[in-house]
Parts: sequence; structure tokens; C-alpha cells
Amino acid sequence: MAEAAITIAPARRCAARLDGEALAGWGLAAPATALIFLLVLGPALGVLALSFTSWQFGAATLEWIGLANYAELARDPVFWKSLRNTLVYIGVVVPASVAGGLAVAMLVESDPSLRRFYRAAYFLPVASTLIAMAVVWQFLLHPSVGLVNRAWELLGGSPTDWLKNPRTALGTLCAIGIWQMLGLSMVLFLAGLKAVPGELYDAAAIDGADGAWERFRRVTWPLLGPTTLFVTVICAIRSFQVFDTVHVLTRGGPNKQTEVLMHTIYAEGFNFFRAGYAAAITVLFLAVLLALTWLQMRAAERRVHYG
Amino acid sequence: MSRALRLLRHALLLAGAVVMLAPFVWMLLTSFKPPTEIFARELNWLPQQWHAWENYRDALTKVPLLRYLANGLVVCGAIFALQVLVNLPAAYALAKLRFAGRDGLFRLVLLGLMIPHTATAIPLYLMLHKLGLLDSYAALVLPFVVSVFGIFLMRQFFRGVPDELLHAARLDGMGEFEIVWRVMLPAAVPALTAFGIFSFVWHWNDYFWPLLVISSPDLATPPLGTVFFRNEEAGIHYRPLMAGTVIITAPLVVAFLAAQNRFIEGVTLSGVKG
Amino acid sequence: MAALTLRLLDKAYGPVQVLSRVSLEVADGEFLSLLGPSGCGKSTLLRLVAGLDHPDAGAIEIDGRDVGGLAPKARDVAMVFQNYALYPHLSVAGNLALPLAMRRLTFAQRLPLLGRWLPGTRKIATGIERDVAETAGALGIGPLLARKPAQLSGGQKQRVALGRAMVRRPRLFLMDEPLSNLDAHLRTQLRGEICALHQRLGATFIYVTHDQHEAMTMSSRVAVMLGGRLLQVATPQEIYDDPASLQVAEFVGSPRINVLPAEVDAAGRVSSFGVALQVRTARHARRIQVACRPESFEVASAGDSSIRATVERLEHLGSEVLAHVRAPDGTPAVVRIRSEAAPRLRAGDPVGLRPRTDRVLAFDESGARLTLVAEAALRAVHG
Repeated sequence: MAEAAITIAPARRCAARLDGEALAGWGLAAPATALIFLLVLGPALGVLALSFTSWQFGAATLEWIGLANYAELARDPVFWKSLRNTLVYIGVVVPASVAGGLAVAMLVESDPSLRRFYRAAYFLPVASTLIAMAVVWQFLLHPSVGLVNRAWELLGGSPTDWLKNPRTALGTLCAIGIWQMLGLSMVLFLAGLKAVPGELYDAAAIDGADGAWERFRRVTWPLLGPTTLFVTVICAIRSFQVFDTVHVLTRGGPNKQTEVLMHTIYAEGFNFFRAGYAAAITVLFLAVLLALTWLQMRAAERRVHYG
Repeated sequence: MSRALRLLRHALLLAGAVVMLAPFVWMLLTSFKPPTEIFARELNWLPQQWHAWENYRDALTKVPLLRYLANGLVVCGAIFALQVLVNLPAAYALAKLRFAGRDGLFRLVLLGLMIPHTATAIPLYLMLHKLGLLDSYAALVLPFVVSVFGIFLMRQFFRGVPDELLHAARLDGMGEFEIVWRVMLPAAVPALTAFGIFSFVWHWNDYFWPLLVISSPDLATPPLGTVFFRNEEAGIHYRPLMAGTVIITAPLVVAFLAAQNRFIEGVTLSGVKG
Repeated sequence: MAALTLRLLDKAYGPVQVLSRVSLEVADGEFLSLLGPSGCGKSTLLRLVAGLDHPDAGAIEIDGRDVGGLAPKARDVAMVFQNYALYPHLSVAGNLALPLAMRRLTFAQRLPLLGRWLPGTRKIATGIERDVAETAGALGIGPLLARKPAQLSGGQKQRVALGRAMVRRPRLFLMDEPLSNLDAHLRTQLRGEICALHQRLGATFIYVTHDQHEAMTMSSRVAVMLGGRLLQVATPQEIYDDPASLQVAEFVGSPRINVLPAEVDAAGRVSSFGVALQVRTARHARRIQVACRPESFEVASAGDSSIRATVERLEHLGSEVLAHVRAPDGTPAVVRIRSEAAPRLRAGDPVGLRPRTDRVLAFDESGARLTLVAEAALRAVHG
């Protein structure tokens, strides 16, 4: 009799414990879960749904139009220009930031003198408020009193209105983008370089690879592979979402030369109030970002499991 | 490293550093100059006349710059505090407790990680509009209270905390809720600091969202306030504008220089988030 | 001609003098162990021989040739590292092939895409493949050639590291604690394989370790290092029986050698705890230390001619007993006693110890070795 009582009691206590744990688990996670649905997943689905309507901000009715928004997008020259500009921006800023960041990181890491200073100097643009610095850049790029034109004149060029000239506007924004992102790339590469085991350089030296080029090719570059992929995807994700400099410096002009996707979404949605249309662009925007973020998570995994 | 190579390294790095720092230096120097020097023909680095007091005074009186900074502090502080309140318990539950649907919830978090704020902007704006919360502190704070990135990060960290610590706490009679605040929170301080810096800097520098939801200058955060200031100045009075940007940029720059390692750690977490 | 000669090497890192006046000669085909605790400078010494670092003073000669300014690849040495140092992005075959590729192919021939099309590359590459296969076969890692290091176990990784060193057939093999990351069973197994390798290759091996068991069982000679200095270079048995200093005596041998205080009277007779040890030394009227290995005591019941010690505890090992005892002044000692010799010994019992006159060692206060002569031998000489 007594034995039976003993064997039953632990099982009951176990079940009670498990129930208690489930209750605690959901209790603690409930606010966050609710908010994820409310603020993240719900709106994401909402954008998808909106893209199939012709709704405008302030309109009373919602009309279902299927894929008409997307069809209009396919014919919209502004959208295609915007897409093209965004891709050009990424195509310039990402390689330059990645390569530049790697070069600077290797130079900084190669010798201990003044390391902290250089790291701080290159990272400062990343840490500062981009909008404020964009305003400063606007002043620097001023056609007559800007520092850039004064320096350009000293080098023999003729002063240009960098931000208003259709041929230089996008390039100028690219330059500012690189200025702002190179430090981030550098810091990520610094971490990656530190993770390369010193023993490998020793082994390579004994194997016969002891020149700077051979060391880079046989040890540094292969071991930085995952980091390089990671940094590239990070820079791509950030560049894809460029908005601040465009809105503050050029508003997408002159003549849509600097129109980028996020600015188009903003303009369509909040200047022209065409919520449905803006939602359609957002869906495409989101699709690309999902792909890039998925890539980033895979790249992050490889960093951890390499070797 | 040979002297020649060392010199070359310095030459290359300094050249780059000059380009990186030039805007900051020029901004600072311009904020000290009188009007005549801005438009002078010759290029002068240092101010010939010290006009700093007037420039800064102008900046502070034309627009409520200090108010903008204060808004930034209030908004970012509120966001972080609420993020800790909402996300820490969820991260603990996902990391250490076993309950039905836990894995599903985590997959939801991972899904949420892939959705950027810009994609959800329009519906969120609509929601706030319906609730009459546009143009308020609530509009700036509420959408960011749940941070899937924060949950992900803290869960990662909590998984590394030994289970024995929790067994001991439970034996001491603590309930799960107490465990979160008395045991996990103190243990998580390093990760929380990094996340805190990341969150603070991210939201301090956020321009897109305040641009959408705020129209009164009173509520502007630093980036929005800077643009208000710039638009006011109509491009002629650069000195007060530069003085203004110095004031706006100073807090982050000072914070960065004071705690470089922590700062870099926090901001590069955004490398993980993207 | 010696395979390796080191002359008065000095090396300092900042304020720390890591190596002081180290001189050593290693014979051709020898297996020499560098034995010492962590931080004694043995890994630094190895790096200097490899050419990964340069000494502040002194000379290094390999096969009679001064290699002072030469880069590692010009010295014809190979090195096996503690953490294997395999290239994680290359397969096992790639790891083994790299040293050969670096030496046999020119810069142009090594270029990733173009190199393949240059004349002569094909032939050399085939030769490399053949050598790689041969080495892999010798080490039993043939089936692993296509795998990456991350897919290998610790023992397999170490074999690949050995293979990478072997494939070039260098004259000198340097090994930096290659087995310390492996578990005990693997360590024993690989120890045997390394010894077999040494026999087969006939090359000179220099093996760094902190494990005295390894050093003693594998090498023809052991070089004991402490604090950046070479204390003694001799065969394992000589190091054990005839240590050059107290530090060496204490470092080698398990359980540790027992050190007891002793006095020397005016005539040079040595006694400890009042018991004459039947040996003499040249120093007169001094306090010295005598040392005796656990197995070198004669154990008797307490009497006038033996040191009285009290048994603290006994470890029964089956064939023998390790008795942990305390000398009259509290100094601890460990004594090996054959089980049948002391069947009824118990903790708390008194026991008499006599250091064997032919095995006892003497050192002065600083640890320097003193010569002892047995009184029986003196009597035989002087009649």
C-alpha cells in the first residue's frame, strides 16, 4: 500500500511541474508574442493584402484590384529607374566598402602603433548621426564655398554642383555611402582577422609561403571567406535600404537620377498617398530583403562552424 | 616591421583617416568662424576671428536643439526600458523553459528577424492613425517595444547560463517571474549592455520613422530636428547650422570616444541584424 | 657532422629573458626531447630553430651550415604543431600537397587558373600527387584524402599534420607538444607511431614536451630545460640516475625524489637526522641536502643505523606499497616497499629508512650536485 502511494506521487508532481512550466513559459512570452503578431507579422501580411487594393490614404472604401498594382509597376518608368539606381548604388558602395574595409583592417592589424586612433577615426562616421553628417556633407559639397570644390580646384578640376548635376549626383551619394559604411566593414574584418590562428601563418612559413602575397592568398583570404561573405551581405542589406541621404540631400533628383526604392515607397505612400501602390513596391522590396537576410543568417552560421 | 613599411602604413592610413575625419573637423571649425570667412575666396582652415559664441547662440535660439536632444534621450530610453520589460522574459522562456509550442514561437521570432521596419511602416502608420496616436511620443516608442532581434540575442546568451543556477533559485523558492528579474537580468548585463547600445544608437539615428509620424517640431528627435533646422536656415547661414550639427552630433561622438570597445560591440551587433 | 648545433642562444621578449646562453648539439638521426614545464622556453627554442623567430645572440647551424638569416623554407625543416595548424579550407590531400607545390612549382605555375596551362605543370603536379598518396598510405590516412580537417577526429588531424611534415622528406623534424591535445589512449598509440616513424625515416627528431613520461620513453637523449636554461642533456637513464642538479632530479621521476636535510662533519662524513649514511663528500662542515628515490631506500625496523620515520598513509598497488612517511622533522617522503617485505605495516607505525649508499645523491643548498664516495669504497682503496 505504502509503496503504491510512493510511486504515484512523483508522477503527479511531475505533471504538475510540467503544467506549471508551460504556464510560466507562455505567461512570460505572452506580451512579446502578442506584440510580434501585432507589430511585425500582422503588418507584414497587411502590406501584402494592401498591395492588392487601390486604397489611398483617407479614402473611405477599399477596392480589390488583384495584381493591377504590380502590372502598373511593370510599366512605371520611375519604378524601373528607381530599381536601377538602387542596384547601381549597391553595385558601387558594397564592393568599395568591403574591399576598403578589408584593406584598412589589414593595414591597422599589421602593426600595433596608433591602432586605437585609426580604428576610432574610421569608425566615427558609422557611429555618428547620419542625418547630421549629411547636412555637413551638403555644406562640404556646396558649389562655391564647399571644401570639396576648393580641393577639387586645387587639383585642377572645375567646380561642380555635385548634388544637382545629373551626372554626378548618384556618384556623390555613393561616395557618402562608402564614407559611412567603410568603418563598419573594417571593424567586422578586424574581428575576423583576429580569429585567424597565428599557428597557421607559422605552418605556412615552414611550408614555404612566407611572402606577404602568399600569406594573404594561402591563409588570410581563405580563412576570411565566411567573414567576407557576411560583411558583403550586411553591406548589401544596408545599402538596399538607403533613404536618409537621398531624402535630405536630393529628394531623388535631379530628374530621378538619385531616386531609390525606399524613397519611391515613401513618395508614393506619403507624398501621393497611394497606399496600395506603395504597398506593392514594399512587397517586392521585402522579397529581396528576405532573400538577403536569409543569406546573411546562413553566412553567420558558417562563420561559427568553420574549421 | 621595417621602418620603411611602417611609414608606408602610416601614410596610407592617415590619408584615409583624413577623408574620414574631414567632415567632422570642417564642421567644428566652421562653427567657430564669422560670416565673412565662410564665403571668403581663400581657403582658411582655422578661424581668423573667433565667432563661436554667436554661432552657437544662434543655433540654440533659432530652433529648440536642446529639446531635440532631450526628445532623443526620452524616446530611446523609453524604448530600451520597454524592450527589456517585454523581451527579456520571452527570451528566458525560449531559452530555459520547456512548453508546448516553444519551437513554433522561436520560428516565429526567426521569421520576424527577416522583416525590416520599413516593410511594416504603412500598416503601422495606419494603426497609429486609427488610434489617434500620431504625432506623439507613443508613436515614436510603441512600434519598437517588441524587438525580435533583442529576443534572439538574449536567448542566445541565456542558453549559455548554467541550468544549476536556476535549480538553485527554484530550490530557494523563487517563481519563474522572479527568476527573470533577480537571476537572469544580472547575469545578462554584458549582453544587455551591447544590446542597449545597439538599440539606443539605432533609434537615436532613426530618421525614417519620425519623418512619417511626427510633424510638430516639439517632438522631433535629433535627426528630424536637424532637418527642421536645415530647412529653416534656407542654406545661407551655415555657421549656426554647423554649430547646430556639432551640438546634435556631440553626444554620440563623445559616447563613442569614451567607450570605444563597448560602442563598437553594440553597433556591430547591428551587423548581425542588418 | 651534427644535424643541429646551437651556440649560446639568447632570446628576450621585452623585459623577460626567455632563453639564456643555450648551447646544444644534436646528432644526425637522433630523437631528442626538450623537456620542461610550461614557460621554460622550449617552444621558443623550437621556433628559433625553425626560423620563425630570430635569436638576440648566438648561432644556429643545421648540417654544419649557419642558418642565421635564412627564412624557414630555406632551412629544410618541418614542424608539427600542438593545434595541428591544418589549412581548414583545403582537403587532406591539399594540405599534404601544399609544401610540395610551394617548392616545386614556380610562382606562375601556382596561379589558380593560368598555372595549369603552363608547360611542365602537369608533370610536376602528377609527381606531387604520387608523393602525397605515398605519404598518406604510410600513415594510414589514404581514405581521408578528400575530407576537410573539420571532418576529422583529433588523432586523424595529428596524422595529417605529421604527413604534411613528412611529405617533404626534410632532414630535421620539429615537434611542438604534438600529442598534448589528445586523450590518454590516443596519446599512447600515436607515441608508438611517432617512434616507428623515426625508425623508418632515419631523420633527426626534436620533440618538445612537458610530459616526462613521454620524453623518457621516446627519446635517445633528453634535454631538460628550466627558466630558459638547459640544465642537462643526457640519456633518459642518466637523467634519472645521475641528475646534474636538484631541479633536474625533482623534475624527472614519479613519485618525486625525496629530499632530506643532512650535515657534513669536518671529516666529510655525511649524516642525516643523526644517522651516518656511510658516504663522504669533499665539502667540510656544511649543511647539505641528500636526495633518494622512493625505490632506493632500505627499509628496516627502527634502529640506530636508520632514520626514524612514521607512516602517515599507505597506498597498496598490489605488487608494492607506496608508503607516505614523515621524517623526524616533519619532512614528507615517499617510499616504495615490496608487498611481501612489509605485510603488516600500518598507518602510524614507525619505520626505519636507510638510503642505499650506491643510489643516494647529494646537493648543496643551491641545488648544485655534490660528489659522494661510499665509505666502503674508500676503505677498499686505502686498506
